[in-house]
Order: sequence, then structure tokens, then C-alpha cells
Amino acid sequence: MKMTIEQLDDALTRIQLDGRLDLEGTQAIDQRFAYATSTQPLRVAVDLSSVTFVASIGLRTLLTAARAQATRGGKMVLFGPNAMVRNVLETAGIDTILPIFNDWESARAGLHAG
Amino acid sequence: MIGKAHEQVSTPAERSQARAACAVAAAAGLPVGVHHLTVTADSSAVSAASAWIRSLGGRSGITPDDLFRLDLCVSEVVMNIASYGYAEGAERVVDLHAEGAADNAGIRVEIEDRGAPFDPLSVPTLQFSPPTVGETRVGGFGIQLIRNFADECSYVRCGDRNVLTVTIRRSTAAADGQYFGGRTDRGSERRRNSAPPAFPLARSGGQLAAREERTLQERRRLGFISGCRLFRDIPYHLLEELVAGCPVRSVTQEEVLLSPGDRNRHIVLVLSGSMRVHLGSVDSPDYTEIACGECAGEMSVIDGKPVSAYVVAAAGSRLMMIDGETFLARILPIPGVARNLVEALTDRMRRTNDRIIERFKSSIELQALQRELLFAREVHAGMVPERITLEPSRPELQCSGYMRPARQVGGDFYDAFYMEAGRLAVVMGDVCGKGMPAALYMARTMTLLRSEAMHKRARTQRQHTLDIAESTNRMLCRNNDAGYFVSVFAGVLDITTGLLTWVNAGHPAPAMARGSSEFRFLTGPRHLLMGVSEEARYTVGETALPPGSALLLYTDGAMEAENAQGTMFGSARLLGLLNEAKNRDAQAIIDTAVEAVDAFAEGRAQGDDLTLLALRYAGAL
Repeated sequence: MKMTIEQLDDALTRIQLDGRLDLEGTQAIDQRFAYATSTQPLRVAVDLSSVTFVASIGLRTLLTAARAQATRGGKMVLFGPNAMVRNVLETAGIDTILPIFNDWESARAGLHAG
Repeated sequence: MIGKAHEQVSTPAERSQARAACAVAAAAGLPVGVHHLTVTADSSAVSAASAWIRSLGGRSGITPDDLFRLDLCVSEVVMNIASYGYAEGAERVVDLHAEGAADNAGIRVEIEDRGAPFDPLSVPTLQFSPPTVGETRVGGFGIQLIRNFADECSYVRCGDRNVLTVTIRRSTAAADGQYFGGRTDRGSERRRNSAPPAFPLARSGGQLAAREERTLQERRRLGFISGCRLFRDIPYHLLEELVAGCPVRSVTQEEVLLSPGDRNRHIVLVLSGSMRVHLGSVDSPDYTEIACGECAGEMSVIDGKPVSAYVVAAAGSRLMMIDGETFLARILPIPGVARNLVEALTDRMRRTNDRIIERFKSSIELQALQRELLFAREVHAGMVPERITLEPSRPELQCSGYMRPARQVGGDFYDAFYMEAGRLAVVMGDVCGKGMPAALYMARTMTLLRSEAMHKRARTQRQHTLDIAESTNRMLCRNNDAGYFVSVFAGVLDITTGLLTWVNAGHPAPAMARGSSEFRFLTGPRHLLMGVSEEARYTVGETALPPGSALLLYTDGAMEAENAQGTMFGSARLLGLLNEAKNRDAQAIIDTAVEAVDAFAEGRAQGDDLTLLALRYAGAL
């Protein structure tokens, strides 16, 4: 599981996740991800296009981060999940509380609009 | 994890009896057989089960989406069992069985545990339509996902077991697809496709035998032989006569079959049980296992040289001894056998190479680690003064420090210095973590505390203390991706008024004796560790020190020192000994504390640094 954080010029943060968001993968990034997403208010987009698998533990991590941003006045969106990953996110109802965009351009527009 | 999980396919006898079932499994997409996995229900179980399912699925040709669903359901069930299934101390086992679903169109996995009866499917479905993300409850998704992604799931309590069955049907997209496209199990493919062997067959002795004349024993042996790596894809009828006459040995107790220097005349094939190959000595812990269906002895048969290792058969094994001459003259020329043999030898060579590389790597890593620890120790020793020398030395104040790093260098530190005439800074801290990164973070913390103390001089002592703490914390939070944290007690003492102002960020409360009273722990505002949040705000504590007061700062290594019985040194013991040494000078207080901790630990190596700093304030002179 890889995680890359980019601070972009327009005050946005883009976090790219790469690999399987299963128990092992989530544990590998959990602390860094929580640190990057929970300590200060941000406009953050999480790139899921290279995530090949997601289990409930991964959903929990995404949701914890989203909740931390909501309480701090920041905003978090997801983008680019493959069909099966999107299917899991929607089954768990994540899409009702976290916007999911198809690609980076629409995610960026969504963050600027919010 | 590897040691705890083991995969097996049913034995050949079971396999021949369950041939009909295997055909179903093959058609459904699984490599032939019912596949089993047993894992220990701990945090590694999920990865082990998922890897197993993906490996089976990868060989079966089901679509990636169906495999995703199967992987998800199995992972969630196993995670549930690993998290909640077993009481503390129970034997934690998860058994998984995978096979083709009975109606030919999917894969069914049974997951069993022996925990308390629990039907996960009885948990009510969660509702997910919260008004805002801030109010969402996090978690509880697992069962929801299983319900939605499995085509069928059912629970049954069976004896002392919970059995959850998950079925994934192949999606319609794949229904007409090639089930054995891509990687396939060659054994099952051959069984499906090749024409049955021609009958009648020649038996040894020149007679002809019809299929029905073969005994069950012979058929089992043949069925098994053709599954061995060496004879894979070789038609039965080419082997039958050659192996029919080979003796089979039953090993009742562990037996050394071959020793270095022996002349070997047989290839030994493991029919059941296993053998071990030891290099060096016969009981060296480092060995290669030769599992059921694999063979040994082929190298010395081929080159005619003496055996180079010990080959030990495990008790209860059954071994077929294939005569070396027969092997070279009659078996090796059979098309396919040579290729299988080369494959097996290559595989063995690769495994040996991997082990050598692995061993080489870990020895390099160990060296690097030791070097790193040495550097860390140097950084540590270079940063923290061995004894505290206050400049200028003043009669109002004595200050002594002591630090003894544990074996694995920790991140303790202390410091005391005058920031300006009459205003003393006294700090102590403990970085959470070990080794080089912790030592560097410690160095960073000390440098920041010193520079903030020297450069941010507010008008009031109180504001000065607050500035030191807040700006140090802010700087520590920046570029701290690795997530290091540090406990800090930062105090400022005005030696003319005796006022001590301080901030405590997650550090154990210092012990203080004010004037002639007893030592007590300093009460007052406590805060989060430094390095966690830039937004942390601190409240300054204020304590007036009458002349004759003493203060002892320490890290948790002192309190948590353990004796042979596992009892911790603890706060009561610390206060007790401090009160006995109450009227002595700062160095004597330190010496008493160190002696007491050492006497308590009775020479037992301690896991944490022991760090102390004592101040004695005589009052303005």
C-alpha cells in the first residue's frame, strides 16, 4: 500500500492511495493518513484510482478522516474509484456523506465549489 | 504467519472417491478438489485467507469482479472472527473450505470457527443516511458488505462450530467465457481432456490386464503417482508397468535414509508423510522439506556421486523406492519426465538461492541496525550533557542531572541553563520511539527549546514560558510525517523571587518539596504531548518556591523500572525515598534515587532510559 501527499497551488491537498485497502494495507497507511487528514482543516481530495480492493476497515479510515475534516471546518472528497470499489463505497452508504467524483478535474471543481 | 497457516488439497484416496464432486468443481472454475486452509484467528488471518482465496481464484478463471466479491466476503468474515470470535486465551482457529457450488456455476466457501455461538447475519442492517458527515457512526460495515456482495450467505451452528457459508455465482458476463482460459491447473486439465488410457494394458510378466483387474490399491497408487510432480502429464499406461514393481517402505519411526558420502541407488518418492534434507548436521534446525508427491535422491542417481546431505524420513511416512537404473534407462526417456525433473531441480535451486539471499539480506540489515544504534547513542550522548554545569554558578541554586540510556537507545533528555540574569530554564522530555529517528527528534526538540527560550523574551515570566512551549510545539508539528511525539516539562525559575512557571505537555508530574514540607507531585494543568497538533494551547502552571525547596524531574523509566517479579518501582516508593533524602543536596538526591531504583531492579536489564534532574533552591541571597 502506497500513499503520496501533494500540496497543490490552489490550497488543495491531493492524497493518492495505491494498492489494497484491506486490513494490511489500511494498517500500513492508517497513522500517516490520519495525521495528514486530521490535524488541520484542509480541502483534500483522495485519489482512489489505483486502489484495487477495499474492505470495511478501509471505509472506516476514510470516514474517520472525513469526520475529522467536518468537525474542523475542512472538506474531503473521493475520486476515481474503479467500479467494484465504488460499488463497495455505495453499499456502505459512503456516497451519501462524502462526494465521490469520477476524476480529478471534477473533484477539484467540487472542492472549490464547497 | 507462514508457520501457522497451512493449505492442503484432499488426499488422493479422498480425491478418487470424490471424483464426481471434483468434476463439478472443475466446471465451476476451481482447480480440482476441495481446498482447505486453517489459520490462527489473529491479525494475520485476514491477509492469509485473502491471499489463499485470491490464489485459488486466480487459478480458477473466475472474473476479477467475482473474485473481488469473494475476497471481500471472506476477508470480512475472517476479520469478524479474528476481532470478536474468541475469548481471551481460547485456542483461536479458523477453518476455510472452498469448492465449486453444487449447481455448477460458482464458488462456495465455508468459514468455520469454534468460538461462542454467534450468527453474524442476525445483526440488523445499519441505516446510512446521516444528515452530516460529522455525525456518522464509523464502523459496522462488514456484515452489510457480506450481505450485499455474496449471492448467498447462510449461517448454521454445527456442534461446537459456527459455520458461515458464502456463495459467489459467476456473473453472466463470464457465463459463456472460457473457464480454463489463462493460467490453469495442468493436472485437472489433463484429467478432463485426455482420452482414457487404452485397455487392455500390459502387466509386468507379459500378461494383459483389463481395467477391472487392477486392485483398488494399484489404482490408488497409480492415481497418486500421476499427480506427483515428476510424473505430471505422463499418461498412466506408460508408467504403470514401471512403478508397479517398485517397493513401498513404511517408515515407523524417524529414520535417516541417506547420509553424506553414501552411494545412493534409489529415487525416493514421498507417497505420504514427508522427508527433510539437512545440510551440515543431521539435526540442524535449518532444513528443506520434501513434501508428499516430491522426491529425493535424483541428483546422486543422475551424476553417480556420493550423497551430499542427510535425508531423514518423518515417522509414519510411506516412500516408494524407484531403482536408479530403471529410472535412468526406462523412466527418464518417457516424454515429459525429463522436463518435469528439470523443473523440479530448477525449483529447488531457486528456493536455495532465495534462502541464501534472504540470509545475506538479514545479516546486512542486522549490521545496519547495529550501526544505526551506535550512531543514535552518539547523537544522544552528544546532545545531553553528562552533568549540568550552570554558568554562572550561583549559591542560590544547585542543579544535578543523571541519565542512563537503556540498551535500545531511547529519546530521553534534560537541560538547564540561564536565559538571562536570574531566569533559569529547566526542561525534561521523552520522545516516544527508539533508535535513530527518536534520537534525531530528541535533538530537534532540545535545539528548539533552547533557541525558543533564548530568543523569545516576553516581558513577563509567565508569557515567556507559554511562548517557549507553544512555539516549540508548533515547530515540532511541522514536517513530522513520521508522527513522532515527545513529552516535555518546561519550567522557568526566577531565582530572585522563587517563582516557578511551567508547562507540562504529557510528562510525568515532577516531585516537589516546598520549603520544609514533604515531597509531593506537582499538581496543575496537564496537556497533550508535543508534536501532535499545531493547534494545541497550553496553560501555564505557577508554583512559588520558598527557600529550601527541592524539585525532582524524571521520565517514566524511573517509575516503570521493574524487578524480577514484574512489580514496578512506582510513585509511592519514589516519594518515600525522596522524603528520606529531603534535606540533602541536589546530587545526593539523585544518587539516592538511582541507588534505590537499582536496588529495586536487582540487576534486571531495564527497557527504558533512566533520567533524573534535581534542583535545590536556597532562596535569594
